[in-house]
Amino acid sequence: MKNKILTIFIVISVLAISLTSCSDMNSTATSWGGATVTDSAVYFADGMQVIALRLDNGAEIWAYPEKAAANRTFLAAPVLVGEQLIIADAGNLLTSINSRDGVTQNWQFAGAKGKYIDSPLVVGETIVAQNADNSIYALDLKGTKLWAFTAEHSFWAQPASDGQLVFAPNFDHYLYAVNLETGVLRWKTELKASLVARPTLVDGVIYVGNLNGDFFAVDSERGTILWETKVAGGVWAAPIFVDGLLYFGDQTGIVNILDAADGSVVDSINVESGIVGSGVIVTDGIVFGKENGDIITIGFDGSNLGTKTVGGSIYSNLSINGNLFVVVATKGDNPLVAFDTDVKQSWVYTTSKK
Amino acid sequence: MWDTIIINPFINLLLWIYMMVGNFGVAIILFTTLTRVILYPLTAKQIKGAQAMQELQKNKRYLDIQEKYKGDKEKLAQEQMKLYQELKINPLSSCLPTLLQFPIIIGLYQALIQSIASAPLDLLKLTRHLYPDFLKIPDLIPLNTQFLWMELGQPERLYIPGISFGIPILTIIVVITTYISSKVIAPPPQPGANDQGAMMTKMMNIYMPILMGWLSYTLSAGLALYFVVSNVIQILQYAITGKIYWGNVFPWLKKTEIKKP
Repeated sequence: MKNKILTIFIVISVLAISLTSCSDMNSTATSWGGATVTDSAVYFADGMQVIALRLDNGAEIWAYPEKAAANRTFLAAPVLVGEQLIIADAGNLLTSINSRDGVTQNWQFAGAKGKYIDSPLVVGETIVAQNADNSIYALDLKGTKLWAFTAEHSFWAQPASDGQLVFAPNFDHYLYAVNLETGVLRWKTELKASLVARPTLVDGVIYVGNLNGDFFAVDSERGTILWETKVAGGVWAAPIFVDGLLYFGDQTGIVNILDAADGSVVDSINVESGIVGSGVIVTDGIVFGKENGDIITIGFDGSNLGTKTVGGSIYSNLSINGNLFVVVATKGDNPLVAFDTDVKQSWVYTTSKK
Repeated sequence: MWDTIIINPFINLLLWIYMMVGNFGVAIILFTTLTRVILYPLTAKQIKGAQAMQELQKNKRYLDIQEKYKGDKEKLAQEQMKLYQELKINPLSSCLPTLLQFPIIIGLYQALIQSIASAPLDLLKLTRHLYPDFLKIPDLIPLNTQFLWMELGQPERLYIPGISFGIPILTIIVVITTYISSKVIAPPPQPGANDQGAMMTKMMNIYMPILMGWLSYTLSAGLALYFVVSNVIQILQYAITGKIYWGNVFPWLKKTEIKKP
């Protein structure tokens, strides 16, 4: 009798676990981490903590918080401003800590109601933090709120700015231009589908793609669409601008090279695995991370210069500073791998280094 | 395989309904109703199986076997099996349909969460689950997941002015409807019936509302809405077949039921 009751209890518990284990409570399972390379260290948001790593060998310097807390999840790449490290977490907190010790908290902003999916943007003395609660918050470097702008739906991707306006892509299909100083809307332009990719701003033109594979060039002054082009799949990351050409991947596994002047397709390279994050410029071309855990170098002329395996799945934007770039791998044995700009592996950060 | 058979059809059907009605809460209600109607043959089988087992416990031969072999479990099982075969009763027919619904519930939950897509990886998966000739990304995303006071992608709480915490109204409704639905479908124990069976039913009547309440409290409101609608439809289905025992929950109705021929 007792065995039967125990069996029922176990069956029910297994059902409960199988349901709760795939829930949104575990944000690390529903998103990916991010890293930033600076002159002094690599700052890696690995889900549970933000970890500072040495540039030369990837050894851990500190971890914030010292002990991982179940109620805090860190996914967006931290941003360094002077000695402040600004950390946006997948709860609703924007926290500034001292980048040297990883302990001293400068300030914390808890005014948002939703998740921070991507890193905030820092323009001069202003922090622009976009949130899934449909708002963009502008703060000064002491964490005081300057203004908030609210749209119809979530802001996921980090905006771009020319120092006067903030260009923020939104889920509601619109690209918003908001005054950096006041938060007042200057213009908004409908771009056909939800926008989750960061925009790239070059010489007064905003380049951004949407989830349906439409790619646009938008005049930053008036918000008019200068040209649009269709690519194979959804665009999740900012394009890289090099010598009048735009390089970006899409989720079907195509690296697209477009002419920035008119949007004409210069080349489409099938790399056979989705590209979600943006690439980085290295010596011979541009490196992209692929969902299958490889990185691929595409020459500026569109040639395939080689592939290296990192493992896991690569969704995050690659981050570079000087001659070092890092790749964040989700669900892999090596959560972060550093390479030099000749795409030779420098070091690997594994959880065993903790 | 799991995605192809369960998740993809669920997501596309749910979102197609959403496209038709323009409200995700209503889409969940209609989708749940539809799945319960499709699963009705299993439910009917479950009702029939439970009834057969109930009848069996009053059967003289069954009672004799229980008495005769109460000291020999192996022999008792053999004799019971013989009797099942003779009377063409499948002892699993009452619980198998319930077990078959578990993967559907899990699939439905995954479909719900991925349809709501409140995190990047879910959204990435969602765009890949859609049948491109059937549903278009620009028409669907972003989904409007607001329903009444609820944000369907988040655990439900009702905030009332003057009260500093949110009240989990939907969780309370889930617990109540789960308790009622599990009580009213179980026939009252017969005198001399198997005590073990009665005890197990009693335990299930306690565990299930707690489990469903916990899931509703911690997971998305969309899933809790599914539980409520599913419970209500189950009660209705049993009521339609006439195999419902209101007296198990409302004792003042018991006398009326007993008087029934």
